[in-house]
Amino acid sequence: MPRYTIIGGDDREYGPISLDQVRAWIREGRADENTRVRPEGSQQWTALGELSEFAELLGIAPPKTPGLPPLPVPKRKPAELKLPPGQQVGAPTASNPWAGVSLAFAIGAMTCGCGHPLCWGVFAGLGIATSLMALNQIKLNPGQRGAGMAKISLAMSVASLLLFILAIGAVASLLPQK
Amino acid sequence: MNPAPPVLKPSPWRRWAWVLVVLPAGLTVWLLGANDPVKTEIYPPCSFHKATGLLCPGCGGLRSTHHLANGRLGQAFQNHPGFVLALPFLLPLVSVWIWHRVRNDEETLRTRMIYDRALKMALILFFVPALLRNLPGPFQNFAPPPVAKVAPSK
Repeated sequence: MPRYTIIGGDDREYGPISLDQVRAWIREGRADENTRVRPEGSQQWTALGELSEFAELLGIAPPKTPGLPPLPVPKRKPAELKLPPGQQVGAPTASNPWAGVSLAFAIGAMTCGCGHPLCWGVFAGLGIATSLMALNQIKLNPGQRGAGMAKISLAMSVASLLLFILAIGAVASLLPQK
Repeated sequence: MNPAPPVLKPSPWRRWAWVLVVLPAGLTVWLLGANDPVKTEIYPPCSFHKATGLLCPGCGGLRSTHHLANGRLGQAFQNHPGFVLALPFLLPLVSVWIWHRVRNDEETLRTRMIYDRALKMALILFFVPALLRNLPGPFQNFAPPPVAKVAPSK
Protein backbone atom coordinates (compact mmCIF):
# COMPACT_ATOMS: atom_id res chain seq x y z
CA MET A 1 0.00 0.00 0.00
CA PRO A 2 1.36 3.43 -0.86
CA ARG A 3 1.80 5.80 2.02
CA TYR A 4 1.75 9.58 1.95
CA THR A 5 2.98 12.55 3.91
CA ILE A 6 0.76 15.64 3.76
CA ILE A 7 0.99 19.24 4.99
CA GLY A 8 -2.02 20.18 7.11
CA GLY A 9 -3.72 23.53 7.29
CA ASP A 10 -1.49 24.32 10.26
CA ASP A 11 1.61 23.93 7.99
CA ARG A 12 2.72 20.83 9.90
CA GLU A 13 3.66 17.51 8.33
CA TYR A 14 1.32 14.57 8.88
CA GLY A 15 2.35 11.07 7.98
CA PRO A 16 3.38 8.80 6.50
CA ILE A 17 -0.25 7.71 6.41
CA SER A 18 -2.25 5.24 4.35
CA LEU A 19 -4.31 5.98 1.25
CA ASP A 20 -7.53 5.36 3.21
CA GLN A 21 -6.47 7.80 5.92
CA VAL A 22 -5.85 10.53 3.32
CA ARG A 23 -9.24 9.82 1.76
CA ALA A 24 -10.89 10.02 5.16
CA TRP A 25 -9.24 13.39 5.83
CA ILE A 26 -10.40 14.70 2.44
CA ARG A 27 -13.97 13.69 3.32
CA GLU A 28 -13.69 15.39 6.70
CA GLY A 29 -12.44 18.60 5.04
CA ARG A 30 -8.97 18.35 6.56
CA ALA A 31 -7.31 18.18 3.11
CA ASP A 32 -8.29 19.36 -0.36
CA GLU A 33 -6.92 19.39 -3.91
CA ASN A 34 -4.30 22.01 -3.00
CA THR A 35 -2.97 20.16 0.04
CA ARG A 36 0.73 19.46 -0.40
CA VAL A 37 1.51 15.75 -0.51
CA ARG A 38 4.62 13.62 -0.88
CA PRO A 39 4.14 9.95 -1.72
CA GLU A 40 6.49 7.72 0.26
CA GLY A 41 9.76 7.20 -1.62
CA SER A 42 9.37 10.41 -3.63
CA GLN A 43 11.50 13.49 -3.12
CA GLN A 44 8.97 15.81 -4.75
CA TRP A 45 6.05 17.53 -3.10
CA THR A 46 2.96 17.88 -5.22
CA ALA A 47 -0.74 18.62 -4.70
CA LEU A 48 -3.42 16.03 -3.89
CA GLY A 49 -5.32 17.19 -6.99
CA GLU A 50 -2.37 16.12 -9.15
CA LEU A 51 -2.51 12.49 -7.97
CA SER A 52 -4.90 10.27 -9.93
CA GLU A 53 -5.77 8.14 -6.87
CA PHE A 54 -7.60 11.10 -5.29
CA ALA A 55 -9.02 12.64 -8.46
CA GLU A 56 -12.44 11.03 -8.24
CA LEU A 57 -12.92 11.85 -4.58
CA LEU A 58 -11.93 15.48 -5.22
CA GLY A 59 -14.36 15.73 -8.13
CA ILE A 60 -11.68 16.24 -10.74
CA ALA A 61 -12.34 13.15 -12.91
CA PRO A 62 -15.35 13.33 -15.26
CA PRO A 63 -18.40 11.29 -14.16
CA LYS A 64 -18.68 7.80 -15.64
CA THR A 65 -21.58 7.15 -17.98
CA PRO A 66 -22.92 3.56 -17.66
CA GLY A 67 -23.18 1.58 -20.88
CA LEU A 68 -20.69 3.69 -22.80
CA PRO A 69 -17.01 2.95 -23.09
CA PRO A 70 -15.10 5.31 -20.85
CA LEU A 71 -13.77 8.38 -22.58
CA PRO A 72 -10.00 8.62 -22.67
CA VAL A 73 -9.12 10.74 -19.68
CA PRO A 74 -6.19 13.03 -20.43
CA LYS A 75 -3.61 12.40 -17.78
CA ARG A 76 -2.97 15.58 -15.86
CA LYS A 77 0.64 16.55 -16.26
CA PRO A 78 2.09 16.68 -12.79
CA ALA A 79 3.44 20.08 -11.89
CA GLU A 80 7.21 20.11 -11.82
CA LEU A 81 8.34 21.77 -8.68
CA LYS A 82 11.56 23.59 -9.34
CA LEU A 83 13.56 24.04 -6.21
CA PRO A 84 15.77 27.08 -5.86
CA PRO A 85 19.44 26.13 -6.27
CA GLY A 86 20.91 24.65 -3.16
CA GLN A 87 17.50 23.73 -1.79
CA GLN A 88 16.45 20.13 -1.29
CA VAL A 89 13.18 18.71 -0.05
CA GLY A 90 13.94 16.94 3.18
CA ALA A 91 16.48 19.55 4.27
CA PRO A 92 14.24 21.37 6.73
CA THR A 93 17.03 23.59 8.02
CA ALA A 94 17.23 25.44 4.67
CA SER A 95 15.64 28.86 4.86
CA ASN A 96 14.16 30.56 1.82
CA PRO A 97 16.73 33.11 0.59
CA TRP A 98 14.05 35.68 -0.27
CA ALA A 99 12.85 35.79 3.34
CA GLY A 100 16.11 37.40 4.44
CA VAL A 101 16.11 39.78 1.47
CA SER A 102 12.56 40.88 2.29
CA LEU A 103 13.48 41.52 5.92
CA ALA A 104 16.34 43.77 4.76
CA PHE A 105 13.96 45.76 2.54
CA ALA A 106 11.37 45.95 5.32
CA ILE A 107 13.90 47.31 7.79
CA GLY A 108 15.00 49.78 5.11
CA ALA A 109 11.38 50.84 4.64
CA MET A 110 10.86 51.25 8.39
CA THR A 111 14.03 53.21 9.10
CA CYS A 112 14.45 55.03 5.75
CA GLY A 113 17.52 57.10 6.53
CA CYS A 114 17.93 58.70 3.11
CA GLY A 115 15.52 61.55 3.67
CA HIS A 116 13.19 61.24 0.71
CA PRO A 117 9.59 59.97 0.99
CA LEU A 118 10.07 57.99 -2.23
CA CYS A 119 12.50 55.84 -0.29
CA TRP A 120 9.64 54.55 1.84
CA GLY A 121 7.65 53.65 -1.24
CA VAL A 122 10.52 51.89 -3.01
CA PHE A 123 11.72 49.92 0.00
CA ALA A 124 8.18 49.04 1.05
CA GLY A 125 7.23 47.94 -2.47
CA LEU A 126 10.33 45.79 -2.79
CA GLY A 127 9.74 44.41 0.72
CA ILE A 128 6.20 43.39 -0.24
CA ALA A 129 7.34 41.85 -3.54
CA THR A 130 10.18 39.82 -2.03
CA SER A 131 8.26 38.65 1.05
CA LEU A 132 5.40 37.46 -1.17
CA MET A 133 8.02 35.72 -3.33
CA ALA A 134 9.36 33.96 -0.23
CA LEU A 135 5.87 32.93 0.99
CA ASN A 136 4.97 31.70 -2.50
CA GLN A 137 8.14 29.60 -2.79
CA ILE A 138 7.61 28.16 0.70
CA LYS A 139 4.11 27.08 -0.37
CA LEU A 140 5.73 25.33 -3.33
CA ASN A 141 8.45 23.71 -1.21
CA PRO A 142 7.00 22.79 2.18
CA GLY A 143 10.43 21.83 3.54
CA GLN A 144 11.68 25.41 3.54
CA ARG A 145 11.77 27.67 6.56
CA GLY A 146 11.48 31.42 6.79
CA ALA A 147 7.69 31.81 6.52
CA GLY A 148 7.54 33.63 9.86
CA MET A 149 10.32 36.01 8.84
CA ALA A 150 8.64 36.70 5.50
CA LYS A 151 5.31 37.41 7.23
CA ILE A 152 6.96 39.89 9.60
CA SER A 153 8.63 41.62 6.61
CA LEU A 154 5.30 41.73 4.80
CA ALA A 155 3.58 43.35 7.79
CA MET A 156 6.40 45.90 8.22
CA SER A 157 6.41 46.76 4.52
CA VAL A 158 2.64 47.18 4.33
CA ALA A 159 2.70 49.38 7.44
CA SER A 160 5.38 51.67 6.03
CA LEU A 161 3.67 51.78 2.63
CA LEU A 162 0.49 53.02 4.35
CA LEU A 163 2.59 55.64 6.17
CA PHE A 164 4.05 56.68 2.79
CA ILE A 165 0.59 57.10 1.30
CA LEU A 166 -0.61 59.07 4.32
CA ALA A 167 2.47 61.30 4.12
CA ILE A 168 1.93 62.03 0.42
CA GLY A 169 -1.76 62.65 0.96
CA ALA A 170 -1.27 64.93 3.94
CA VAL A 171 1.49 67.02 2.41
CA ALA A 172 -0.16 67.17 -1.02
CA SER A 173 -3.33 68.60 0.49
CA LEU A 174 -1.48 71.10 2.71
CA LEU A 175 1.09 72.63 0.38
CA PRO A 176 0.13 74.97 -2.47
CA GLN A 177 1.24 74.15 -5.99
CA LYS A 178 3.54 76.35 -7.98
CA MET B 1 -2.21 6.64 14.99
CA ASN B 2 -1.34 10.11 13.78
CA PRO B 3 -3.17 13.12 15.12
CA ALA B 4 -5.45 14.51 12.42
CA PRO B 5 -4.69 17.88 10.81
CA PRO B 6 -7.21 20.64 11.53
CA VAL B 7 -10.27 21.10 9.33
CA LEU B 8 -9.43 23.56 6.55
CA LYS B 9 -11.34 26.79 6.70
CA PRO B 10 -10.50 29.87 4.66
CA SER B 11 -9.60 32.89 6.75
CA PRO B 12 -12.29 35.57 6.52
CA TRP B 13 -9.56 38.23 6.27
CA ARG B 14 -7.82 36.64 3.30
CA ARG B 15 -10.80 37.48 1.17
CA TRP B 16 -10.28 41.21 1.67
CA ALA B 17 -6.48 41.24 1.35
CA TRP B 18 -6.79 42.76 -2.12
CA VAL B 19 -8.17 45.96 -0.60
CA LEU B 20 -4.77 46.47 1.08
CA VAL B 21 -3.17 46.48 -2.38
CA VAL B 22 -5.76 48.26 -4.50
CA LEU B 23 -6.50 51.09 -2.07
CA PRO B 24 -2.91 52.33 -1.49
CA ALA B 25 -1.96 51.78 -5.15
CA GLY B 26 -5.04 53.62 -6.39
CA LEU B 27 -4.52 56.48 -3.95
CA THR B 28 -0.86 56.84 -4.96
CA VAL B 29 -1.64 56.85 -8.68
CA TRP B 30 -4.47 59.35 -8.17
CA LEU B 31 -2.41 61.74 -6.04
CA LEU B 32 0.69 61.49 -8.22
CA GLY B 33 -1.33 61.79 -11.39
CA ALA B 34 -2.91 65.02 -10.19
CA ASN B 35 0.36 66.54 -8.90
CA ASP B 36 3.49 66.73 -11.04
CA PRO B 37 6.29 65.88 -8.59
CA VAL B 38 8.66 68.20 -10.52
CA LYS B 39 6.40 71.24 -10.12
CA THR B 40 5.04 70.42 -6.69
CA GLU B 41 7.28 71.43 -3.84
CA ILE B 42 6.16 68.48 -1.75
CA TYR B 43 9.27 66.44 -1.93
CA PRO B 44 12.53 67.37 -0.24
CA PRO B 45 15.62 66.99 -2.44
CA CYS B 46 17.02 63.47 -2.23
CA SER B 47 19.86 63.53 0.27
CA PHE B 48 21.21 60.21 -1.03
CA HIS B 49 21.63 61.69 -4.52
CA LYS B 50 23.08 64.88 -3.07
CA ALA B 51 25.63 63.01 -0.97
CA THR B 52 26.76 60.36 -3.47
CA GLY B 53 25.72 61.67 -6.88
CA LEU B 54 24.29 58.20 -7.57
CA LEU B 55 20.79 57.39 -8.77
CA CYS B 56 19.12 55.00 -6.34
CA PRO B 57 16.86 52.29 -7.87
CA GLY B 58 13.82 54.43 -7.10
CA CYS B 59 15.04 57.64 -8.73
CA GLY B 60 12.54 58.88 -11.29
CA GLY B 61 9.83 56.58 -9.96
CA LEU B 62 7.49 59.38 -8.86
CA ARG B 63 7.89 61.24 -12.17
CA SER B 64 7.37 57.98 -14.05
CA THR B 65 4.19 57.21 -12.11
CA HIS B 66 2.92 60.73 -12.73
CA HIS B 67 3.35 60.42 -16.50
CA LEU B 68 1.94 56.89 -16.49
CA ALA B 69 -1.17 58.03 -14.61
CA ASN B 70 -1.70 60.61 -17.35
CA GLY B 71 -1.17 58.08 -20.13
CA ARG B 72 2.23 59.33 -21.31
CA LEU B 73 4.02 56.02 -21.71
CA GLY B 74 7.08 57.46 -23.48
CA GLN B 75 7.85 60.00 -20.79
CA ALA B 76 7.18 57.43 -18.10
CA PHE B 77 9.73 55.15 -19.76
CA GLN B 78 12.26 57.97 -19.99
CA ASN B 79 12.05 58.65 -16.26
CA HIS B 80 12.22 55.07 -15.04
CA PRO B 81 12.56 52.39 -17.77
CA GLY B 82 12.78 49.52 -15.27
CA PHE B 83 9.47 50.41 -13.65
CA VAL B 84 7.63 50.55 -16.98
CA LEU B 85 9.24 47.29 -18.17
CA ALA B 86 8.22 45.47 -14.98
CA LEU B 87 4.56 46.50 -15.23
CA PRO B 88 3.54 44.03 -18.00
CA PHE B 89 4.57 41.26 -15.59
CA LEU B 90 3.27 42.85 -12.39
CA LEU B 91 -0.19 43.92 -13.54
CA PRO B 92 -1.37 40.49 -14.78
CA LEU B 93 0.11 38.91 -11.64
CA VAL B 94 -1.78 41.31 -9.38
CA SER B 95 -4.98 40.88 -11.41
CA VAL B 96 -4.88 37.09 -11.14
CA TRP B 97 -4.15 37.38 -7.43
CA ILE B 98 -7.11 39.77 -6.89
CA TRP B 99 -9.33 37.43 -8.92
CA HIS B 100 -8.42 34.53 -6.63
CA ARG B 101 -8.98 36.58 -3.46
CA VAL B 102 -12.35 37.94 -4.57
CA ARG B 103 -13.56 34.46 -5.52
CA ASN B 104 -12.04 33.08 -2.30
CA ASP B 105 -10.10 30.45 -4.27
CA GLU B 106 -6.84 28.86 -3.33
CA GLU B 107 -4.22 29.05 -6.10
CA THR B 108 -3.18 25.83 -7.79
CA LEU B 109 0.45 24.75 -7.80
CA ARG B 110 0.81 25.81 -11.42
CA THR B 111 -0.53 29.31 -10.69
CA ARG B 112 1.92 29.66 -7.82
CA MET B 113 4.80 28.71 -10.11
CA ILE B 114 3.66 31.32 -12.63
CA TYR B 115 3.53 33.88 -9.77
CA ASP B 116 7.11 32.96 -8.92
CA ARG B 117 8.38 33.42 -12.47
CA ALA B 118 6.45 36.66 -13.05
CA LEU B 119 7.78 38.15 -9.80
CA LYS B 120 11.37 37.19 -10.63
CA MET B 121 11.02 38.63 -14.14
CA ALA B 122 9.56 41.89 -12.77
CA LEU B 123 12.37 42.24 -10.22
CA ILE B 124 15.05 41.64 -12.87
CA LEU B 125 13.47 44.09 -15.31
CA PHE B 126 13.13 46.70 -12.56
CA PHE B 127 16.65 46.43 -11.21
CA VAL B 128 18.84 45.92 -14.29
CA PRO B 129 18.19 49.33 -15.93
CA ALA B 130 17.87 50.96 -12.50
CA LEU B 131 21.38 49.90 -11.53
CA LEU B 132 23.04 50.18 -14.97
CA ARG B 133 22.14 53.85 -15.30
CA ASN B 134 24.83 54.66 -12.76
CA LEU B 135 27.45 53.56 -15.32
CA PRO B 136 28.84 56.03 -17.88
CA GLY B 137 28.35 55.87 -21.64
CA PRO B 138 25.23 54.49 -23.33
CA PHE B 139 23.78 53.42 -19.96
CA GLN B 140 23.12 57.08 -19.26
CA ASN B 141 20.08 56.74 -21.55
CA PHE B 142 18.37 54.85 -18.73
CA ALA B 143 18.79 57.81 -16.37
CA PRO B 144 15.88 60.21 -15.82
CA PRO B 145 16.34 63.60 -17.51
CA PRO B 146 17.68 66.20 -15.08
CA VAL B 147 15.02 68.18 -13.29
CA ALA B 148 15.13 71.80 -14.46
CA LYS B 149 14.91 74.23 -11.60
CA VAL B 150 11.43 75.65 -11.63
CA ALA B 151 11.70 79.42 -11.55
CA PRO B 152 9.92 80.96 -8.54
CA SER B 153 6.67 82.51 -9.74
CA LYS B 154 7.17 86.15 -8.96
